[in-house]
Amino acid sequence: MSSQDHFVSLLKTHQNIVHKVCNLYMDRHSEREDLFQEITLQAWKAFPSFRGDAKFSTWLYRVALNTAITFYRKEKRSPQIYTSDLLPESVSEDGLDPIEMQLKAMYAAIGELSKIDKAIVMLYLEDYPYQDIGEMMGITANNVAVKMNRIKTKLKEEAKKQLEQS
Amino acid sequence: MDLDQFKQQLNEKLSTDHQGRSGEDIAQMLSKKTFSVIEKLKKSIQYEILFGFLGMMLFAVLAFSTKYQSVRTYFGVSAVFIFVFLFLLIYLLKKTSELNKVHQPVISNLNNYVILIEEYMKRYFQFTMAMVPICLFFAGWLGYHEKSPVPELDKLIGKSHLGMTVVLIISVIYLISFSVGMYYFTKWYLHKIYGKYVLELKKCIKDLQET
Repeated sequence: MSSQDHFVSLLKTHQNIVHKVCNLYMDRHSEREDLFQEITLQAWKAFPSFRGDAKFSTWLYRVALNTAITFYRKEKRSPQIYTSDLLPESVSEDGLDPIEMQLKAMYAAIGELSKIDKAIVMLYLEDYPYQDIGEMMGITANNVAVKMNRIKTKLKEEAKKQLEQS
Repeated sequence: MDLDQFKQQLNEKLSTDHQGRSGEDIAQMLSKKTFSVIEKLKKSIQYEILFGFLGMMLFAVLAFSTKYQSVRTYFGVSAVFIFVFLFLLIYLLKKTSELNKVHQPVISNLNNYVILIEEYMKRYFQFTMAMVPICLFFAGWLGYHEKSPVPELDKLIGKSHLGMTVVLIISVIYLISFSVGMYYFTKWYLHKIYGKYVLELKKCIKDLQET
């Protein structure tokens, strides 16, 4: 199997990671497509540095987050808006399910976070320990814990606000 | 209502909201162009190398074909200068390519980006600012010491009925305006291309370092 075939096969298996990052950082379909392509290319270029001593998923997360955070948008675009089309079909504007309304509010609140906070939340949702999150972000585990507490508080308040507005 | 309560649903939502890509789709993507700022810088440097090379050739042709000593010296020296500068650009291109390491921790990657872009902006600005007075005064000095008269220039000065002092004052005003104009234009241009982006990256670094 050639290096390219090996890479394509690994990326195909772990493409959920790339989609997750694209969904979190971009709101429009075309922007997600651009970011998906960019992450794929950057991962391919960096692939020779993947020595296999770490999990491919962890390595891919690092590449994907680095690419999303430094992604250079050529055209000036309007700010990111989290719309209901990003949510499960059962949630509509006049949906009455309180749990789903809360989920929608929480999703919108995550969309309001900074690029760095989004990355930390994403890794937290993946159940990575603080130590691993710290290694990927380049900060200490203690710092991750402090940031995570702050993010949770921020999300709680923002989600509450979103819920009141809806 | 907190994040942990929706951890699973959010995770599922983020990972399932897409259409799966086939192996062929992914393989096709590997030959497409990238949008990264490192690639943008690389492309800029490649263009500078290309235009630098074309400029050098043009200057060399002008230096060898003119009958005026001043013009020959000016374009000859400029061609040699560009030739040396091309090696610096090639070195910068090599360095830029080496820095494209997206598998590093986020903070290291961000720092590398900021250092590289700021260095590029600084050198570009310094080079432009240094070249403006050097070129202008070098051209003026050579023109002043030109042995054979330039009939077109003499005719122009003669037709406008301006004295040598007035011509000199106009030239000095032109030199100053051109230099000041170039200073602000270069600053604006660099800020327009990279300024906001660098600020955004620095904000990310600040966010990460915040305790």
